[in-house]
Amino acid sequence: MTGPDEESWENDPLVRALRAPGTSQELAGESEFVAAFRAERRPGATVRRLGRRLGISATTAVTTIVLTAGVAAAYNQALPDPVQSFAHSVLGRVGVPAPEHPRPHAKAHARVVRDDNPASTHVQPAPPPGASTTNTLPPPAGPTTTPGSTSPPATGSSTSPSPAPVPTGQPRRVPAAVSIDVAAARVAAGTPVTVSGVVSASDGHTLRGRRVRLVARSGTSGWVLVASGRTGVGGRIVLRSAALNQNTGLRLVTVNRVRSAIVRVVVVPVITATVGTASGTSTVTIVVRGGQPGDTVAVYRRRNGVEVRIGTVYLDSGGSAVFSFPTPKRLVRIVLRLPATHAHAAAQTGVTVGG
Amino acid sequence: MELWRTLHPPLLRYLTVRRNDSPEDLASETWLQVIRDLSSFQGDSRDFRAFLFTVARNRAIDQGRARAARPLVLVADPIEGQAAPSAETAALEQVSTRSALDLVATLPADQAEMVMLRVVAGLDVATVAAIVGKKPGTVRVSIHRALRTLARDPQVRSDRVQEEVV
Repeated sequence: MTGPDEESWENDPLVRALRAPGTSQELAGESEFVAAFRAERRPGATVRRLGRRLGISATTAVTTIVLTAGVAAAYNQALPDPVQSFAHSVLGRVGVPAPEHPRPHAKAHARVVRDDNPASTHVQPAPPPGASTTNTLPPPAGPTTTPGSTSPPATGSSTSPSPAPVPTGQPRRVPAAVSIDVAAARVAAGTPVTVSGVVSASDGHTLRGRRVRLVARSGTSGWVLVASGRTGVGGRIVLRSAALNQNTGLRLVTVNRVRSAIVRVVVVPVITATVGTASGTSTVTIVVRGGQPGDTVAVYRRRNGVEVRIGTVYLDSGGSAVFSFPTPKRLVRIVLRLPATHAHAAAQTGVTVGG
Repeated sequence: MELWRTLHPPLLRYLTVRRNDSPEDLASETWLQVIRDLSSFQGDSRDFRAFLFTVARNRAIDQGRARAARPLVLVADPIEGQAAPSAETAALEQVSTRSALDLVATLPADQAEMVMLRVVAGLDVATVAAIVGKKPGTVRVSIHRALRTLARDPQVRSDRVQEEVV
């Protein structure tokens, strides 16, 4: 990512949307992949496959595969660190070791573990003698424990899961992308929606303990803060919106103003109709949750197999309307339809009148 | 599994933009192929990324050839009775990852592929050039043109305006 042109599109919303961390849908096949990987890399499977292919005994095949340079690469830690870590995570039982620590990437990974676990960041490794302490990371939010107070000396007894002390001069990873996913794209009026997302750094590592705000926009209003929280394991954040009563755009925003894409949740109004009959006149009282004042409700009656519009009413400021008509001599189905507007989806209900 | 979590989404998006049938299946096949060939791989994490996308591209090309040899008969899904979105509704739609991918897919196929490999997969120009079999200069210019084309799209411009508001 070098060059003036590339720098100019680095922060482009489109590019950020393209580079957003994987959604839960995209990452749904992880367990299947692990199973496939284990099946594929299981020594017995490989040996049997090779044996079949070469027409040799299993023992000979074992000898062959052990001598294969590529497989040996995993055992000899000759693979790149991410691949070696990966191979270790699934082949550790058969002896594939983890990558060695002093490599730059291993340090970066240790940095992620440290960032992602607030508990571990509380115990700072002691700086080497003579080293400057002005370049340390900003302290995490929340209570901290200094090395000199309650934690033992950092010479090997740190509670950090990192196998080696992490240099404190490295820059702290900052959120560079936020993905967003909603539990439902359409909800009934008055229902909140659950929004989830993953915060990650520019190198793809997910970030834990980062504050994220959920903002919402509906109608002509600007963005309004709805909820906020901190990311958990895997950089994941789950927030719940307030009850939605009109179509709403939602997005997640980090403290350093990295924004997710906008997801739009469509609200489906809920229509309730009650019928009262007095002196030959039926009155249908319509209450619409999620409707807007002035919304049209069309009233239809089925006649000879065809729906005929018999009236139109408009919602008042309370979301109600009343429609009266002569009581039919026999039972008649009355259908009430609320067309879609920019604020909500279409909805309808029916009542039976007469008889 | 960090490696898979990091590389699978861009891989899936790359295959989606290539308009292959069932990009999920193709991505799974790609990973299986990579696992099988892992023993012959040597290099750093950047090389691994290039290796993964090269395998994916080759498998996608193979699938395209197979599809050309045995064309599928597509059957339309039934359309649910649903109100068409109003103009206001459409105007409120914003750029999401899905719509961004759809937007990139409107580019000429070679440009879309280069954009995905460069911008989404994070490969450098030289690697992209090697994968698609073009000169680095051609790749650089193509990506530049593609991004300019995308920047002119009304949807992207609308989202950029929204960005100023938040």
